[in-house]
Amino acid sequence: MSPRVLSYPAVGDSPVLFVNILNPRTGRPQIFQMLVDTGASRTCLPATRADFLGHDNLDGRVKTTEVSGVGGKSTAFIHTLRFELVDPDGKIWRKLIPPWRSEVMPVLFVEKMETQAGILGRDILSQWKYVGFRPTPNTPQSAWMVELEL
Amino acid sequence: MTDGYKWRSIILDSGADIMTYYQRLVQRAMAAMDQFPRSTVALDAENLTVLARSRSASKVARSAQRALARGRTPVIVEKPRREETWIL
Repeated sequence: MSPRVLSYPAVGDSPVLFVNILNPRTGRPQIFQMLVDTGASRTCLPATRADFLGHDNLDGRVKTTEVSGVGGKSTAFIHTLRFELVDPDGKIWRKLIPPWRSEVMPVLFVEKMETQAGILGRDILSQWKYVGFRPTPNTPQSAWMVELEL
Repeated sequence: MTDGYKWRSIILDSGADIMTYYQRLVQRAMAAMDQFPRSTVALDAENLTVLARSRSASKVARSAQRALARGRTPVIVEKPRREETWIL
């Protein structure tokens, strides 16, 4: 079977993708903006996004860890999620088939993360054969084309 | 009008039909972020209409959960509060 190459117009001027995120308990997807970040070792979301995905950061059973970034250290709440890519070539929502789906995996919900997009880190990127960005200066609405191979 | 010109015109006029779903999603999300730059917005993934919007992300989260319970798929979009310079 030949490898599948997917091309996504980015959201705005950063390599941001729309990605399905599922709470494994409900199996229901929601779509979020995620920055493709080869510098991040782990996939993370702002802590405020836990509500959207049916998780509760204040539940005493939730494990936490400490993460470090350019802005310093922060507490992160660990929840489990599943990610899916959206088919970039389909025309009709009802007929879209996700071309890739992750296993259920731990994801960090970072307290001091003030960005609106989440971050797709190397724990996910390493599951693909290739990921790259190509500038598309003539389309300011999508200044990059994100290309990946499964 | 030649047939070639007529067909080209029809295709250009119906540009929305030849776009992929993902291209329409990006276009609609960018428009929603520009329209409500200080809000968190939940769009309906199927028809890309606004399900909820608020400056309070937790209010939108509750609306998104209700939409999920009705079998809808919310798309959560939010414009950066200010011009962001990423250094990661």
